[in-house]
Amino acid sequence: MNHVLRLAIAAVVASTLAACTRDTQLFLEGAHAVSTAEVSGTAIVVATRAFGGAELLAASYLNLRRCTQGTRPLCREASATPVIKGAVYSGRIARDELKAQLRAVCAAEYAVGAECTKGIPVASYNTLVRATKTLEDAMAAYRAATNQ
Amino acid sequence: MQSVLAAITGLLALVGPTVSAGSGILALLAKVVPSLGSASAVGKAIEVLTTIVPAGIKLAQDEYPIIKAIIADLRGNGATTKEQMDTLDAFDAQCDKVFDVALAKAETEDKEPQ
Repeated sequence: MNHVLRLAIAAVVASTLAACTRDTQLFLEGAHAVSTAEVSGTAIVVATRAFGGAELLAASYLNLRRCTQGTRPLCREASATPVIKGAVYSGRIARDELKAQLRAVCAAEYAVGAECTKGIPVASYNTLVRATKTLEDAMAAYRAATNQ
Repeated sequence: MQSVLAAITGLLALVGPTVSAGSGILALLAKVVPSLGSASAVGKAIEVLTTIVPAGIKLAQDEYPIIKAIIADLRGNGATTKEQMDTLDAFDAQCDKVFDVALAKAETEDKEPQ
């Protein structure tokens, strides 16, 4: 009986922990991406500049020497290169699409030097935010792996 | 309000976006942002935020909600100008160039035997 009770408690604790982990993950994933149909120009500027910052961080990582036995801990993992490259390239495509959309939508305001408050469809924005997060996560993982 | 943002920018330049500086400045920025009334003030706030955000990979997870709230406030402000977009283009081109040079160097090195 005690054995059955212990198993039942273990099952409840395990499922609760799994739910907590999933909730935390969902919260972090939703921290920057948005579910509205449109985003403002300001949100695009913020996301684009954040991506630029992540791109510069990635560049500084790639400028380190490749890791070998003698170069640790200040080195870069060769396996990180394609991961970083992929995230930066997909982020660039989304970024350039967003800026082109914003310029097209705000063309009339920009032509007369006015401020533009029109919204832009959210799809490319979320792609850009995800690329930035992928880049930051990869950097954090590889930096941790090489004790930087 | 512009002077507060200028002070924050000055502070960042002085100490760099370290973990502790980022935390304090985020809290201060969160208080200032809802009061911003012009595109130039919003632009300055964006500069401060994006100086901190790249260091966000080192920030504690409980600071993400603060960043999220600041971005939500900035998003509520909404307006962009052509000047902001032009500045952004220059910033992007600069980042792309720095990255491309570093990537080419890393890929060349990765092809060499260890």
